[in-house]
Amino acid sequence: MDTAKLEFLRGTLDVLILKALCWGPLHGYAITSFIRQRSDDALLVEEGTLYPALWRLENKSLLEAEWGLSENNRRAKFYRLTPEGRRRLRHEVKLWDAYAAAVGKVLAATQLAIPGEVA
Amino acid sequence: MTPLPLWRRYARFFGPDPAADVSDELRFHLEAKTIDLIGQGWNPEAARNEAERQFGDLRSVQKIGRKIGEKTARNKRLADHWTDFLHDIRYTFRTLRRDPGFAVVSILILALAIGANIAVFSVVNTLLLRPLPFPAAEELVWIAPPPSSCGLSCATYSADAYEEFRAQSRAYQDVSGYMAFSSPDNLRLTAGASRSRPRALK
Repeated sequence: MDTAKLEFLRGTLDVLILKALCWGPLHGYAITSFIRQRSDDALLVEEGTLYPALWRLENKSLLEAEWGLSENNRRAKFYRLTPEGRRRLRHEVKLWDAYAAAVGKVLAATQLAIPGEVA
Repeated sequence: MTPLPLWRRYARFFGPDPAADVSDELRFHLEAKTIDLIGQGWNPEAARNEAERQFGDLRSVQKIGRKIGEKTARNKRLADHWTDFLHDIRYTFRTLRRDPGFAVVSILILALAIGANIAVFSVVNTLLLRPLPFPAAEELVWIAPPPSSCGLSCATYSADAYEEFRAQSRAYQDVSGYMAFSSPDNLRLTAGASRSRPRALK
């Protein structure tokens, strides 16, 4: 499988961003690095989608932004979760688990009908 | 994250600037990427180009950022106004509760002032502002004698003078009279003609 070409399902990027920020504030570049490293380079976030997603989340006040200094003393915009963002993250993780489990069950099916059940 | 040192916080001294924020943020991203690539052994020039290539269409992202940033700044400003307003209200109520005497007096004064205003305005409105309930009300005039010391009580004409006006006047389409001091069925007998019907004064 060509892992570099895994496409993001709609809305997935938002959850990943929220997750990346759950340990504390990060700037945009650190968020891309986090997602790339944690997914073993399977998920490559394009900058052209990451930043608009960040700004939209900020606009919906799931994130709040603040200018700070990066590791190499540059002025960078750091994002942190708002309490609402944290709530949203918990909710989305639950949804995602349920969704993945359901899809997994269907894909793992070995026969058409469950024995003893009328279709 | 290290907080910005004090002297570097004046970058937005003249209020928020979403466009500059967006380009600063993206510039930082490109720099960080370039530094990482150099760390992986690229030469600086190629690293810079590669970072920009990976980014893609910088300008359109900047445009999106400006638009969203302006919206966010506007929302923030609105939210600030709203919380300021709520704080003011809360502060007002706290102050009033701390000094109930003052609260009662000021509420009474306000109530009196509003009441007086309403009273005066309703008089002015009916007398001066609202047109009279007749067609062509602006052509209606009141014929009155020059003001005298006894005021409106003396501002009257005799019935004869009224008939004179009615017969002689050419400036008015019609002249009518009314009896200000008693009920509408007040009657007057015309002199001399004992058999003529009494005429009502309008």
